[in-house]
Amino acid sequence: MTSGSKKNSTRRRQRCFRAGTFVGLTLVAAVLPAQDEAAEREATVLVEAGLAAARDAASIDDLALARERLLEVPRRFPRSQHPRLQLRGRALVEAAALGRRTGAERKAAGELLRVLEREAESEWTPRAHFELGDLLLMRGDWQDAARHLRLAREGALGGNGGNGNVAGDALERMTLIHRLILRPLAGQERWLDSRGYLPAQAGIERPRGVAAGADGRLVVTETNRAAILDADGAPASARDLRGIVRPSHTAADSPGVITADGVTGIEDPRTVSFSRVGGGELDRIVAAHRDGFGNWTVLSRRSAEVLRYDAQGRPIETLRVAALTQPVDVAVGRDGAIHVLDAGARSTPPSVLRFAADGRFEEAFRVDWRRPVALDVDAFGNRYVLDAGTLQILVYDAFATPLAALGPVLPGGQELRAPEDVAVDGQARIFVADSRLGQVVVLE
Amino acid sequence: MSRNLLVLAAVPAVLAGLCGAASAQRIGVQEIGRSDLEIERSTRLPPRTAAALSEAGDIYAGGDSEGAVPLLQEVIDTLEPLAADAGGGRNLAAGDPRLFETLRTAWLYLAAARWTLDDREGADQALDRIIRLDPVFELDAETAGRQLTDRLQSRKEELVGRVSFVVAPLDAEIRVGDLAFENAAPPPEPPPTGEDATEDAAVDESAEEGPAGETADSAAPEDAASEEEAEPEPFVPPEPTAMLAGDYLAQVSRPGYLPTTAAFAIDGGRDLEVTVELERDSAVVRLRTAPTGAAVLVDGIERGLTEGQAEPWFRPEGAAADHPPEDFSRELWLDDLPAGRYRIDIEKDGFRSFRTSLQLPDLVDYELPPIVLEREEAVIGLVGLTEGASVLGNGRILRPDWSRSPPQVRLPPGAYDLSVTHGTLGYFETSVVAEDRRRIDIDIRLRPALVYLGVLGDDPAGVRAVEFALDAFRGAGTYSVLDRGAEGTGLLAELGVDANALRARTTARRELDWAAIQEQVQARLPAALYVAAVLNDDLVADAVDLWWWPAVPGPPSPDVRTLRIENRRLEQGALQRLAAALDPELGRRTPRFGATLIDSRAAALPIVAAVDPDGPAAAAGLAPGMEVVTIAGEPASSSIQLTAAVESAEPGEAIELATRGEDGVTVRSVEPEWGWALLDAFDPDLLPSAVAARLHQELERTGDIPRWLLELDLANLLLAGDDQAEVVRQLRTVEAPGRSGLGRDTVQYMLGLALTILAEEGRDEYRSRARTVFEALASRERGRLRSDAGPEIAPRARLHAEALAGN
Repeated sequence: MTSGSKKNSTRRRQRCFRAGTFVGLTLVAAVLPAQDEAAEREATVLVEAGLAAARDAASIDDLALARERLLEVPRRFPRSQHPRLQLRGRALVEAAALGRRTGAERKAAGELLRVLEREAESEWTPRAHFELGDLLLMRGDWQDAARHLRLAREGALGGNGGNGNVAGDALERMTLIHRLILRPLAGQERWLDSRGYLPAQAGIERPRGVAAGADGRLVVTETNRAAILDADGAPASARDLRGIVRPSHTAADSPGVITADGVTGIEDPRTVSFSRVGGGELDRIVAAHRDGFGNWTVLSRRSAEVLRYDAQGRPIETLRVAALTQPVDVAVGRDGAIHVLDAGARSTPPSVLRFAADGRFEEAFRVDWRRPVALDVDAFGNRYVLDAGTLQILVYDAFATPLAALGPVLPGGQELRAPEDVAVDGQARIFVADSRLGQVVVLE
Repeated sequence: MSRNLLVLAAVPAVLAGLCGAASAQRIGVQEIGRSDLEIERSTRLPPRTAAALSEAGDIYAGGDSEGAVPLLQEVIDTLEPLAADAGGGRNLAAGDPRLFETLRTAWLYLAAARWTLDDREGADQALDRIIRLDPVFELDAETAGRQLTDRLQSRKEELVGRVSFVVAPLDAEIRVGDLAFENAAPPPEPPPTGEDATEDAAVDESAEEGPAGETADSAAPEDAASEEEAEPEPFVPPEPTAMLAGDYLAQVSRPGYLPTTAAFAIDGGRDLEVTVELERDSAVVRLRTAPTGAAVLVDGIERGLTEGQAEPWFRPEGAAADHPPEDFSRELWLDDLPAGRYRIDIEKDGFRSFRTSLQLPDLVDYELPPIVLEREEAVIGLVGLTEGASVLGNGRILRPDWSRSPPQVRLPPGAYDLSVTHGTLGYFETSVVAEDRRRIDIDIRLRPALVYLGVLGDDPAGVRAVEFALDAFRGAGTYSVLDRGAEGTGLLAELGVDANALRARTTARRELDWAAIQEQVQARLPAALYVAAVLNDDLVADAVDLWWWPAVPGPPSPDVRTLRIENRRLEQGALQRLAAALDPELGRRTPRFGATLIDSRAAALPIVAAVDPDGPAAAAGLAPGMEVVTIAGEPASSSIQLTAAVESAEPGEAIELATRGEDGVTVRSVEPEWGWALLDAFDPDLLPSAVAARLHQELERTGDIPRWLLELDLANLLLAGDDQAEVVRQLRTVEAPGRSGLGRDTVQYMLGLALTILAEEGRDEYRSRARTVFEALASRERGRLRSDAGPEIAPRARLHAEALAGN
């Protein structure tokens, strides 16, 4: 299964951004002369327009246009003329974030460096550190990533934390580094323990699906019920539905589940259905991921295709690759890359395929898993494959190098019996939904 | 018109009258009638009378001597009372030469007319009158005619005699009435032994004050000096003086002698020699001073004032030989001094009093050597004065004596406001009270000068608010704040900078020639930093723009800071930030720990993450993955604790950490390395002008901060100011060492940034060059940004190179 959607956190962040901007404007207005106030207003309009364009983007090209709108701010309001304009930093950070989602990662890095090296320290500095740390983490430069993440967290906690949950996000990434890098360096296993995570109050007896959100919330499903656990694992809400396949990747924001009709919300009962390119409704959906802009990446077992839809369920594009034979799960990384688990066929071994954010096929690796059923990806780009045939979770890095094989007996003594879905949260905790155990097991 | 001219004018007229030459008549009339404004104004001669004389001359010249006589008599009757009022005779000639000449001419015409009419007696009366007016008057026989000339001469022999005086001493003054006479006595033969010479004055050795050796042993009788002179020229006695026959009294006097009156009688046509020998009755002390105007007291009683300027032949000798002769007074003679001992005091304001004791054994003249009065002065030592500094005392330029250590200036006693200016290095001012013969050493501590150029804009309340704010800048203590408001606004106006021009900020920044403004303001008002205030309204200003710019060679781009006016004061918070910005911390030292701790939700303790291989943390054994149990003795719960501990560490102070690794808990002591840090040039509270000024001051003096670091700061400042072309130029001059931390790699990195910005601004030719720079740096592991403990250059350079290459 896939990690939870980040839309919730993104929306919350955006709300915070707006609040932060408002507060900032109020404070700045007290000391700025009229010309600066005008620049502040104009730049605000540009940033908001860029962010709105990103939200409404229906394609990578739209996102690229939204990004260009944001980059217009530093061009129109250079530092030499507007030294106190913090919105330039915001525009660059937001543009870099879009760049990372559209595959323009190198340019994004340049924009983040520009904030750090050529802008005054502001509330956007921690966010730039975080984005750059996260980007470096994806590239495997964990030491430099650790430095930026520490600065992000300290900056955010030290008063410059008005833009989203930077401190918390940075702590998650640091935990990731700790778990995946530092523990082995210190001679420890990456995952030291396992335990049952699903409380009885959730009302789920045979969990078959699990999805983790970046905010720490977890969605657990069985065939006719879905429950949301908060960051501490306590039941937050639940809904009974018929024919639930597994959670969708919108779990963190507006948690949903995949059913025969499409994706249905748990807290918000609306359903999004997806039409087929050739007409009719898409069925036999086995995985769905909603990105920060509301666009969907959907996997249908019937068509053996990965399809991309806009927020209203209208088709955008189809990711075609000849090798897809029996795709069973899809996961989308922080860099926008789409990872597809193909269970293979009798003559075709199972594989994991990676597509770039813009849909370009990048690489695939094949392993003779016995019965791969679920896939997730962490912030490092590591892939987690659940093999129900061997009762194992197999972890591979971004280059397909095996990092760990966990199960059937997990650290801490838990033994998998019928694992059906896997999810990895922001701190690389692994959640496994095991219907026979009647439990969601967490490895940490 | 001179007397000679009138004589020449009159004579042709007379000649014409005698010979009937019309042309000569005209000349005479014209000459007499010619006016000279100056003389006209000063003479008592009535113009109508002069015209009458001219008319009489014409009548006479026309051959009508008879007709001329009554008219001439009328003129004479008019002029004679006036001449009598003016003193007559020599007094008239000296006091009113025009009247004198006219009267004499009238008499001459009358003599000539009567002579023509054959009235010999009448002519003689007229000639006698001419002789009484002017006993030495002569007629030229060739022009006036032999007969009249001879007649005049014969009348003179009857009425005029000559007198000469032979007086001892030679320099006695001889007067008859107002008339002074020269002495006809020959100078004495040089005395063979000096016995006759005046005697030495014994000067008391215990002279209380005065230049050593200047007076006492060199005071000598006057005549002694003449002994060594060259052979005198042969004596030529003066011509006897012509005087009208009669009885006279001559007054003869000379200081040191009893004055005498000698009676004598002059007979016509005879020469008389009057001999007088004065009797000595006191000694005379003769002295002169430099400068003049000194009061001379004898035994406490003021006896005279030296005055005038020394005669051209005077040459100071002895201790005064180096003094300009023209500074000395004429000789002052002190007489009425019986033989004895005297105390001489010479006093003049602003000069030290001169005092000496004189023993005058004989009644002779004593000439003191020229006395140079020393100015009263204090010595002010200027400790720490640097070459090239200019020193002002009460607004006047003082010239320090650089041969002294410390350099010193000498000043008359008084209160002084002293100031020292040394370009951008700084300004120093103090007040001293200087006392004569006292030395004061002043420790010159140059502080850079901030010149306030005044307020542009008319709202008086706004002006007061700005001027009140100057105290905040003074309070910051970094600069000597010099209020040059009155001069500054005028100067700015001369340069075309006024309130309206500066209110259009963007245009003013872009279009005014700031390099010229910077240069010319600096030429007139040398300082390190300048500020001018511009009110946003002339009637009701509620904000003020403060325009700042540094002295050359700081960048000629002003910084503008806007402050609101609240309750008749500039907003205090912003003002305080601005004042603080005047003193940027250059050459800051920062600690480097050499490891990054992170927090983890999977652990209760901070974890050691990145460790610099060559850093102090690595040297203490820290390694990635270790858990940190305590930091500086406190239980560790967050990586922020380490950040705080490092930030508060003092140089040389170690930070203790307990770490848990594979081999258990170990206590480690990490002593941070202290290194340099650059200014945060992108800090919006920074005032780039003030930073540039401070950097240039530091660059001018040899301080502890490495030159390359200051230059790097300067480049960083320019980078923040978006003057990339200048950044590139500046960076290419920086000779930074190749070292770990800040250094050569930092210079290259900043160069790469500048080139990147140029490329972003559309100069795409610099993109590949920037990329090349970053690619070269991507493998350099030693360099850091911002500080010796700052971010590593290599990973960032890689990112920049990739960004420039594009995705």
